[in-house]
Amino acid sequence: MTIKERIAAANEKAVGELINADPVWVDILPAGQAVEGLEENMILHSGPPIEFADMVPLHRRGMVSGALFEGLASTEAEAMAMLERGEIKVSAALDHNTVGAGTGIITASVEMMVVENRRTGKRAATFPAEGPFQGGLCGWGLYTEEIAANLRYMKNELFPAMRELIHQRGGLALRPILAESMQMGDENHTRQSASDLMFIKQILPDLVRMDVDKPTLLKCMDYIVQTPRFFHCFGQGASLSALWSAKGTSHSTMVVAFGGNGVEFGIKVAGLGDEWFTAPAPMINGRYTSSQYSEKDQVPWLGDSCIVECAGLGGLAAAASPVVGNLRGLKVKDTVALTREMQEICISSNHNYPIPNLDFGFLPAGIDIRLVLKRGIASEIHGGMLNHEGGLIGAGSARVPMGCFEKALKAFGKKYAE
Amino acid sequence: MSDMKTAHCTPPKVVHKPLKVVNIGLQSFTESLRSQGVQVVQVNWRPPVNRDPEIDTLLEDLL
Repeated sequence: MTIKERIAAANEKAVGELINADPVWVDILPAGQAVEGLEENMILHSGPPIEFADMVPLHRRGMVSGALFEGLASTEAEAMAMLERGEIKVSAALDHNTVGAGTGIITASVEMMVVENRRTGKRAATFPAEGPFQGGLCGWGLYTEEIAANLRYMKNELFPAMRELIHQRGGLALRPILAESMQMGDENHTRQSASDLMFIKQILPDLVRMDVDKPTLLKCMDYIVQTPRFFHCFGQGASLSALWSAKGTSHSTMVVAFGGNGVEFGIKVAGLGDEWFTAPAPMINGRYTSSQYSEKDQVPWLGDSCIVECAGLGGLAAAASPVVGNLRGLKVKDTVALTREMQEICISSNHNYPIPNLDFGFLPAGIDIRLVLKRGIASEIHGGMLNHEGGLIGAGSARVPMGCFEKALKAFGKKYAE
Repeated sequence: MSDMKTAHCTPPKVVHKPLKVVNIGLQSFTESLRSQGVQVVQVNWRPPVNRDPEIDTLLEDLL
């Protein structure tokens, strides 16, 4: 076999893992149990690895918040000192089986949604939105008494009943929800309006039938119904459990991870294991929530939720969501053109996701670093703009820096040279 | 000098006929002409990618 034939065979295998994945929500567990390699004195963050001293202020504050929430330190000053001395370890979420959406502040006691790819047994854990605080501690790195109390409320009052629910149910299949919602206007990164509704339709009848007291039932229902973009964590978990099934496929040039830490953006490639390939983090272009904001208020790309793009959702699925396109001033045909452009850099297409605006053509699947560089087309990624103080100030898109793909291809050439 | 004067004063014949345009590249030029009732054909084209020679060699070997 020539090297080109080996790569073609490896990519077919890797993209097959992506297309044929069967992600199922199976559990709710503390991160200390659900996230492999997460130690008690460790705090995770989004993007490629970075020292505490080099982090953007939003990440540094998130680390301090995480240390206080976890009880690793009792004051901000103590937390800072422990982080600076390395007594509290920091680690990249995507170096584990989890996703650091936003700031990605994950500590051992945070409750996580566990998604299992039933085809391979690979599990991914992602943190849920924090009800009225939305990004809260984990996504936005914020810490107040109210945010801490809400996390304890979720852990002690909501999730025991929801855990029982998902156990009794034997899991909730996520691919049917993703597939149908993308025929209803979601691209499942910026928009989850349809997938939220379908999740509710699946879960509420079982919740009502459960043997729980009415106040608990109402609390669970309020949390699920009132939390915006509730389904986002499941889309990320579904994506990661599929991608981690392809990670490690020898000779594959398929991308398996994207993430940014506000300083650098990084990618991982299936045939190159856990090595990161980085370039300066891009800015998001899009619309701000208020005219008071401008680019100076915005942190460069921070977050791993673009893991969904690696799995063919979000920016690759732009054609599925004219609503998201419209938020950025795009016409329907522009969103179709975007998805068709993304097809040019992908290994295959995903027959599970036929899209009305593509005349029921399929979404692209499996970004190939070679095709990105050959065609000069970088991956489109959708995302939320975070400001330096924390909080979401807009939404839009960016392109993954070409430098990431260039470094990855050079490393690939070195590793597999014949 | 006299040639330049002539060129400046005489409008090109093309403006007296209905325009038929082939636009290469930026879609917005096509949209702008089409909105003015001009018959346009859009050709999707991008400038050639300017790559590091090492990347070119790798792509030749691996793709």
